[in-house]
Amino acid sequence: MTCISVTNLCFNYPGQVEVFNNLNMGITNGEKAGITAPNGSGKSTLFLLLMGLLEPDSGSISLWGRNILSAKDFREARLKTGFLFQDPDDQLFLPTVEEDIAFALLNRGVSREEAITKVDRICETFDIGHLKKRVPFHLSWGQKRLVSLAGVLVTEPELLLLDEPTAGVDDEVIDIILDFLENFRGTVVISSHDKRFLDRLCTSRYTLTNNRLEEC
Amino acid sequence: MQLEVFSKGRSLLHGIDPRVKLLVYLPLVLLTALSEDRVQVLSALALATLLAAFSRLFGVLLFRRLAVVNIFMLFLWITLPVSVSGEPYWNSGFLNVSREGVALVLLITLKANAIALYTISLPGTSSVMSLSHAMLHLRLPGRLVTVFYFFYRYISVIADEYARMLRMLHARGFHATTSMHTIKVYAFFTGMLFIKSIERSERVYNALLMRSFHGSFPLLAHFRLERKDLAFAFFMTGLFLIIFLL
Repeated sequence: MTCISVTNLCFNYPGQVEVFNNLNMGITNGEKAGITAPNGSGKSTLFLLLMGLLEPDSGSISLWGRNILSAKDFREARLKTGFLFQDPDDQLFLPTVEEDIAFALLNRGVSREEAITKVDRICETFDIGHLKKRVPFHLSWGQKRLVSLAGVLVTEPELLLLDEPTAGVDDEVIDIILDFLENFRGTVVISSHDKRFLDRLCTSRYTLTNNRLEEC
Repeated sequence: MQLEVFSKGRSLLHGIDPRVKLLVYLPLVLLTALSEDRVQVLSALALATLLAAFSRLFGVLLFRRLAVVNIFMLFLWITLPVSVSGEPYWNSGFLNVSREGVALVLLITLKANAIALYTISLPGTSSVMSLSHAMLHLRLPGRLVTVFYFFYRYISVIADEYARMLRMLHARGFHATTSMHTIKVYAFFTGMLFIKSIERSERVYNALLMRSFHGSFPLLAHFRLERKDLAFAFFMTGLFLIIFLL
């Protein structure tokens, strides 16, 4: 079954060269897809479009076989999706690490007790239990990356969109991320320049060049 | 963050429920600001000083903050005594310093310092997030609280961005002189600061949307009204009544 299907997607930022012109792509359920592309070719923009955070000029997006047409559809899709932003500072918002990780859970109506249990579990997985009471903004880059990833994964999403998950992090952190993602059962789409990381994890690889997404 | 420098601590006031602090803070500030009675204002200042002492905040940072407030007061001390008409206090021919002007500026100075100390020792001893959460508990409009929290978050973003850009400028050998070049650099600097801040705020908002943000700030650590909170509320209400109503 198709997880992500994009048909004839066109998008450009106002006053700039076009980013996508009739882009087509399909990602199947359970696929671990890696997207590589030169800087500025629209990888992050593609993720934003998929989640309805940018509005395409034309074309259609469907997720899990359902055409996503309205803001409500996107809101529902976001509930099943985890999106790791390129810069963890954009994602970390709350005064302590544990509050930040629990934020999405509490927004979704999960009880406080259950949220605490899930936060504890994900902190253990990423070995960041000792950071729970720390202020997220004061952590190192690698720690911030792990905390933001924990905040995304704590909701147990079916689809993961990871924008440069290994940028600026050391091998130890990369290994922790890899260990988790190798056992992740959902669909993963990763935009990255880190070929070693993509080689180890991805079941399929794509390149995004000249407005086209091609399997390689 | 700069706006939360007083929020970390282990004093009695740091441990008080933020809801109680807000409930105590608002009438205190309002009545202090409106009071015309010098004894009341002096008592309010004494109470504010007592609160600052309880919150163990006396230090260089507190005095720096008060210095900022009093620099503004200095302008009032220069202008008000000579611009308010009344009985002469000191006269040097063309300059008449009135008693009423001096009394007024003294009252304003006492009030400003009292309010600054209240603000630092009551809401200032809680994190902005806890205050936002407390405001929602006190049934303040959700949108207002969201605006308050976003203001805090983004003002910090702008401050961070400013510091980063300034470091970059200095690293590239820039130093300000009285020249067109410096003016141009500052103009670009200001423009870039706003553009970067706007872009950053859009990314932060997108990240919030991805985590199902819908205008509220749920917290793991919930407030629990304890005996010490009630005792503090009664104690402050008592002092409040003595100062302003008796």
